[in-house]
Amino acid sequence: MNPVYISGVSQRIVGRGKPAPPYLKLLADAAADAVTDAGLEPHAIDGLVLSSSIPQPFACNPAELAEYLGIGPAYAAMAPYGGRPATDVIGMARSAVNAGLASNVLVLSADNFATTLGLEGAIELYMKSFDQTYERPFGPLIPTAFALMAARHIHDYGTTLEQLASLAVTIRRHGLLNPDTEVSGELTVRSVLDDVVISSPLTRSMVALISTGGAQGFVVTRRPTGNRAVAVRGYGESCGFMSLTQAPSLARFAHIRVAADQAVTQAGITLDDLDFVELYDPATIVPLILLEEIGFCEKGEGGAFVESGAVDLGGRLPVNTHGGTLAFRHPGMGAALDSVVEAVVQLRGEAGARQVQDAELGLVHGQGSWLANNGFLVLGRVR
Amino acid sequence: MTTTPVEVDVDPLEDPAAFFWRECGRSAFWLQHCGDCEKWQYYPRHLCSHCWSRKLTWRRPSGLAVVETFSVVHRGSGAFADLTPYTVALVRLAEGPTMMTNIVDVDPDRVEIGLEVQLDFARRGDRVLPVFRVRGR
Ligand SMILES: [Zn+2]
Repeated sequence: MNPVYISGVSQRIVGRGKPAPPYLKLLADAAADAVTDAGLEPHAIDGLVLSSSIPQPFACNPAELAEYLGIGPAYAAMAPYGGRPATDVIGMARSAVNAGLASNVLVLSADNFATTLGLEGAIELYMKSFDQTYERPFGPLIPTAFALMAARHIHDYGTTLEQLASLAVTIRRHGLLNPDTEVSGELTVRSVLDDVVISSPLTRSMVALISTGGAQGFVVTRRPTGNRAVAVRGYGESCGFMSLTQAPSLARFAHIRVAADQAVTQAGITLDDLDFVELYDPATIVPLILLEEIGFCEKGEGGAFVESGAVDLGGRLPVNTHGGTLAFRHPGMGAALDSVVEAVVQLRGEAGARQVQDAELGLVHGQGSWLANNGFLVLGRVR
Repeated sequence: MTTTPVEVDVDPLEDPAAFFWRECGRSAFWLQHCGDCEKWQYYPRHLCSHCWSRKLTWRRPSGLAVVETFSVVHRGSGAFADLTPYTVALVRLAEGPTMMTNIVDVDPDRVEIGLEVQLDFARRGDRVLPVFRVRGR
């Protein structure tokens, strides 16, 4: 597969608790900023991939959005709502370029919870991810899905609550270096453990934020445009189940390695070559499991790995350098695309106080519904 | 007096979920069993997810299960707010499949992975749910 490039990115910041702009305003701003960042004129765009939003999954189809933005003739596609790892839209854009359908594909994602739903409405909407017929009636919260994993991981591998807390402390420290973070104040292992229990054994500080909205834009190109392009070296994706009851285990997820190996093999690298990793972190147990399943440490050693400081900025494998959804924001479907933006910023060497020194290669993970469906992107600096 | 049959064919024209919940409403718990590969499945479907056979029947399982993992929900949302703290669990049925359920009538502190539980029913709102309680109690 030929490499393609992310030549432009954009990220619309809304801010903690602030009402988000209208959905189409977010999309329009994300589009204009990304195309400018790529050093292109709007008429150079000949493809559009829209990532569905959580609150407005059917607000517009990709043809309507292309028309709204004045793009065309163009390839137009959409990644539908639910169960998808969000990073998939970069893979779709790459496929379109490699298939000769387009040369400069605009990828857009926006979520807007504030104006229509409020926080409780957002929570209700996220809860719809559970199977309506056989899971919702028993009252799981979104964090319950991750709590069920954590309980089993603790049982099978002796992972400790202190280890689950230490990852929240690390990611918070990273988030506080991000000028756009929605949180303030350091955490300690003690403060994380003493926080309110949401769904045992997880406390509030071990689970993601809920933000009012945000947007991300990317220009995926056949040739680098501008002078800050980043190469898409590999993309892998693998779905293992959707309902929690259908997962073979809640502590071991073999399909994660399938997707990660696809991405790493396409890139022609090994895990040791990676300078940083951005993992979807709806709860601290999730990156911990991912680190094991991808193969950065032995199965069951994730707790010790994060506690060792390996995943801190300055460690051998910094994780979630922007703060992730635990300590930057969780805007909705675009959470993993915030991770893609961060990886591009790191590889451009523009991450400021949180810059990973000499970052050449990064791995980005996106998750659809509790590790059910996983996508991995390998991005690399263009030399 | 009619006796409940031990096995009924899956009606290809009926939504399996409708059958499942209607039967729960009269405190009857049915799992699908495959006539070809002899495996059980939950949740019910229009084909066997193990071998794609359409030769499915409904059977009454033992009602015995073991807690695979669980979480005590402390901050219920919507209609569940009044029930907190309540225990959401994945239990492995003796027949093989795993299902989500609530462990009821037990101090949440006593629930643990590996706990042996048995089927019961609980009315909640307009529906009767298959729940589990500690075996032998
Ligand atoms: Zn079968």
